[in-house]
Formats: sequence, structure tokens, C-alpha cells
Amino acid sequence: MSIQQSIIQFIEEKTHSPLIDLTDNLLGTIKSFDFMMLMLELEQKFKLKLPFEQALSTNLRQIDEFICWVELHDES
Amino acid sequence: MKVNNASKSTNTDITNSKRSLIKQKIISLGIRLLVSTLLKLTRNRRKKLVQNIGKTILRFANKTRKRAINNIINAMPELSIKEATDLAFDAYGNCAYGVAESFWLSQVEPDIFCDEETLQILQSGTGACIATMHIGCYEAVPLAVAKFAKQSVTLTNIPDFLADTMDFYSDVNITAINKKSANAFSELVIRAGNNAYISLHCDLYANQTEVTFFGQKTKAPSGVVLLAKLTKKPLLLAYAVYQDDGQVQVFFETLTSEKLAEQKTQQESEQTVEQVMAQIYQRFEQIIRQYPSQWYWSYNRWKNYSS
Repeated sequence: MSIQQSIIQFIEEKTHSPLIDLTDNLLGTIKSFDFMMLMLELEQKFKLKLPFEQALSTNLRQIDEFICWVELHDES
Repeated sequence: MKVNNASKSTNTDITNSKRSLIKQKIISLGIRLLVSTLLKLTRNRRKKLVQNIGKTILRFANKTRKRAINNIINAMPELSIKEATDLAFDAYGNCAYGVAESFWLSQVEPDIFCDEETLQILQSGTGACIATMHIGCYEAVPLAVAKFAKQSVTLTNIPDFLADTMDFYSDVNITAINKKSANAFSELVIRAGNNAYISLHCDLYANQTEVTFFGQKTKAPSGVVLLAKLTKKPLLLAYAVYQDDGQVQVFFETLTSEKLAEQKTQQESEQTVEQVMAQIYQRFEQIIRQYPSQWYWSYNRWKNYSS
């Protein structure tokens, strides 16, 4: 499963909604606790090291921006 | 007509917000007066007075009293109803004092206890996440942290009418982030990333991680564990209790750290959030059994949760 699929599936499970708008605010869609769980899950599943404090910067608010940011860390 | 109605509605909103502001100011002023009066008393007299106020409040708060007694009986069935009732009143009085001490934190000088490794973590300036609990003096843990570290951070759930008096935290170099503020989580994460020492109470109920507490399944807030894992900071456990003479003692213990991880096998060092929470709650239970009259029993801790 790709990073994008994993993130979307996680959000769908938490929101109980199959229709995720990728331009939505990530922290407005899932709780902060779930956000931390998601980060941890991504780190473990894809063997990543994500700079956690960066994940909340202003240009990563949207779900699609967050996905790109995680994918970027996977490539590097 | 519509314009008039809108105008009326706006006027009503303004009047309500003015009223609410005035009400907040009056309550805040009342609290300041009460605190300054209490501060004129000796520590022992102040403690007895606040404890008695707490006990009197519990006498009239039927629901809270019954919940506390039920919680005690469920947790420690070996106690009689009378013993549980006495404990509920003692605990409520002690907690009232523990909360009240937040208003004069600058006068609280805790004795601090920890092992060598924990001391190194606290003095290193590289930050840690600290799981704490509502026992004894609630804010004594971040207060003790502030004695070692530049950045002692905690989350508060302070009511609006107390917002004015919130500077009691900054007086003792504690950064208090209001849970209700929109960017509370971001601020917490940024500070954690900037080597702050984050103390979070995690003994109350939250629909997060399943734990066993006094033999009953329930759920608990595990944000502090997640934060430690994500920021790769050590995880400590800390609590503050009163001695008979009113002196506060703060105890720190290391739960996870790089040094501890080196001593363990990889499997042991990569504990899950659930395993760490189980460890924290096992320790919380031991501490509460040691100081049952200092924990806040009146909270709906176990709720109607069943796995």
C-alpha cells in the first residue's frame, strides 16, 4: 500500500467517511491524538523518520500537502 | 424590518458579551481578594481552612460525593463504606488544597527526588515528556521541572474567569498552554521539538488507549507517550505528594530513554503505546494505593467503558 493510500485509509477509518476531500485541513479532519498515531504508523510502516515538529507548519495544513511531505521523506 | 432585527440582535450580543466580561472581572477580583486573604494566614491554617472548604463543598455535592465513594469502593473493595466515605472527604479536602496552591506557586518550594539518570535528563536541557497525575499538589511537577530546566511546559484547562490570574504560572517560569486555544496542539509540538520539558496529566479518562486500572478496564490519554515517541525524547513519570507537615515532595522516574533502550534488546526497547501506558498505569495504581487520600477520586474515571 502506498503512503497516499495509507493516509487516506487512516483518515477514512477515523472519520467513518469514505469521501475525503484532500484539500481539507488535516487537523480539522482528525483529532490531534489520531494525528500523532498516524505519524507513528507511517514511521513504522514505511521505515521513515519524520521531523514531527515540521508536520504542523503552515504549508502542511491540507491533507494533500501532508501526503506530499511524507512522500518526500520517503524518497530521501 | 430585517435591518432593525439585525441591529437589535447585534446590540443584544454586545450587551451579553459586556455582561459576561464584567462577570469574569468580578469573579477574578473575588478570587484575587480570597487568595490575598489566604496568604495572610500561616501555611498550616491556610491548609486546614481550604481543606475544610473542600470537605464542605463535597457534603453538598451529592453526585460528586457518591461518585467518589463508588470509585473508592470499586478500586479498594477491602474498605468499609465508612472508611471509603472518610477517604472521599479527606481526598477532596486535600485536592482542594492542591488546586488552591496553584494560586501561590511562587511560595511552594518542593523537595525533589530522582535517580542519577533522571537527574541527568532533567539537567541536560534537551527536553523530555513527563506523565503526571492529579495527586497532591497538581502543578508541583512543572514547578519542580522549572527548577532544573529553562522550558517547563504544561497544558491547562483554566476557566475563562481565571484567565486574568493565569500569570501565576509565568511567575514561576512555567509556560501554560490553554487546552481550549485553537493552536494548543501545534504549540505543544513546537515546544516539544524545541527541547522543552512537557508535563501532561494522564490519569483521567480519555477515549484513547485501553488500560487496566485497579482491576477494571478503562481508557486513558496517551498523548504524552506518543509525543515522546515522535519527538524521540525520554519519557518520565512524576508525581507530587504532601507530607504531614505540608511540605511538597516531587518524585521523578525514567520510563524510557536512550540509555535504558541501550540496555534492552531491540524488542524490549520498542514498546508499543499500549505497553508503555500499562506500565504508567501500574505505577499510578501503586502511587495511589500509597497515598489514597491525595488522589482525586471524584472524577468519572471509569465511565461506562467496557471493552
